[in-house]
Amino acid sequence: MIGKLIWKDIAANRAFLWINAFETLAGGVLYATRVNPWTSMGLSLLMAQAVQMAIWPLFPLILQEKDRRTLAFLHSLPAGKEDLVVSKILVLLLLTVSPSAIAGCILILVRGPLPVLMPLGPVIALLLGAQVITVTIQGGVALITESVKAVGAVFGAVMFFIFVVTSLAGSGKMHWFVASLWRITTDPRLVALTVFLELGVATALAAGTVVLYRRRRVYV
Amino acid sequence: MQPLIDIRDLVKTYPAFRLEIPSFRLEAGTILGLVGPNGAGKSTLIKILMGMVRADAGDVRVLGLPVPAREREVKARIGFLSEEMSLYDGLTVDWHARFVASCFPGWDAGYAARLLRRFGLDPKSKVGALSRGTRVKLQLLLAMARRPPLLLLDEPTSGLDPVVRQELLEEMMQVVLEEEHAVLFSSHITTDVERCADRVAFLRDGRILEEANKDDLLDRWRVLRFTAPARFEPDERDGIVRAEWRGASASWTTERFTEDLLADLARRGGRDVSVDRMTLEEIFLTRMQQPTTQGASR
Repeated sequence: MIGKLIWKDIAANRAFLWINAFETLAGGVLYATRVNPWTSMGLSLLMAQAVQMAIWPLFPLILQEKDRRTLAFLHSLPAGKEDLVVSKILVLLLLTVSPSAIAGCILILVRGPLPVLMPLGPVIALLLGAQVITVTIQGGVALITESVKAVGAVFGAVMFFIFVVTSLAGSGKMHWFVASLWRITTDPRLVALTVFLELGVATALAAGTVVLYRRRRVYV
Repeated sequence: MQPLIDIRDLVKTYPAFRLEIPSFRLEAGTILGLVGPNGAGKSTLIKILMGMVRADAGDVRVLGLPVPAREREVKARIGFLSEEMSLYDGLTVDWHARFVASCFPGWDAGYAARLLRRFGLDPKSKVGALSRGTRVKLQLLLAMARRPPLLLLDEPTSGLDPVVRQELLEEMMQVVLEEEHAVLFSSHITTDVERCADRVAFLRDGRILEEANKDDLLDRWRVLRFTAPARFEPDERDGIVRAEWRGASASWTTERFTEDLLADLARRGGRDVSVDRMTLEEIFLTRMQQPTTQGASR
């Protein structure tokens, strides 16, 4: 049953898969070919990556909102609450830990963090941390608490797991983004500015959405 | 025969609401209309039967199995439809049918195709493009093509036009023609309940005020209008729930009408007596105006 629930979620949210695939492709082309960023193609690829990076933290929230609306339908299926929770977690991870996040994590492991990321470390940690904390807590917790009250003791462990995985995915994605950028322009000021703007937009978007959702009492 | 729903000593408490049902059964071959105002506990009761809400105390058995302990097996044999149920807007009618079919081994593809035609549903239409009425038809199709022995419908006809409501009710009644099936549907549209239910349960403030055969209920409840030279009070045994006087004219509402009551009225000076039947809506409204303690024994 869990497999069917996951399949249903993927079919219903296949746009996320396309977004992830397109972003990874864009980053891959940038990373592999050193496309001049100031050409229309280079800008398009960079924008494709940047836009996906900005909306990525919203995925859990969007998923949670969809689930809230379709919860009665899901409950009409011969599944227990635990089936629903496990499938949601797996789908969340599947859509969050996209190929670009994995590619970024592999890059960190193989080559170490890029020099340009070192001075930006505190800023990235702060902004990425803010994103991950707000989005994961608000989106992930809400997603799960609607159907997991019975799981009680497992709750803390599950949340920690999601937090760690989404944090890693976030770091990986950011690293993939910067590595792609670094391949085409090694000017640290330009890269720093891009990263700062990117994270700023993403954080503002995530925080704004969280505030709007809370005002609509989506989680009640 | 084992009841399809068997509830004993059910209690569910929220900060501002308490559902308390000492006993409730639904037998096969029955359409039971659960009638109550908003906030009476209709949806909570249905959610408990579906395992979506867990009771604080009591024994809840659906299809002979305890809920929520064996909710997967129970849900595999229930057709559930709720007013608040949403499908996936971006996906088609056909996708939903195929997905639900894959989850229910008893899915009757021939019946689903027949309902598809009967309800005028286009398999290629996206759910987001369907009207509210058409979406409910699709939900009913998804619930009924599983061929479940039990249908739980939470406000299925709410917000629909009379034509669509009639179609849905007819299909629902058709289901119960197969003897082993039963339907529990909640509604505040009493005309729908009067049209198709065999039994009726009035729910208010988390308690079942009355649960009875619909025809018996309609037979028992009457309004008596008469004149009398001097006012007199009804006897307790007459089952009068409302007695109004305007000058020499009286209007009494009884929940236990018998021919003996007419003889009794004549003996006590009542003249020009007329007896009117009540609609289910009138009975419901009268019931809702009574104090909770009256009739709460059931």
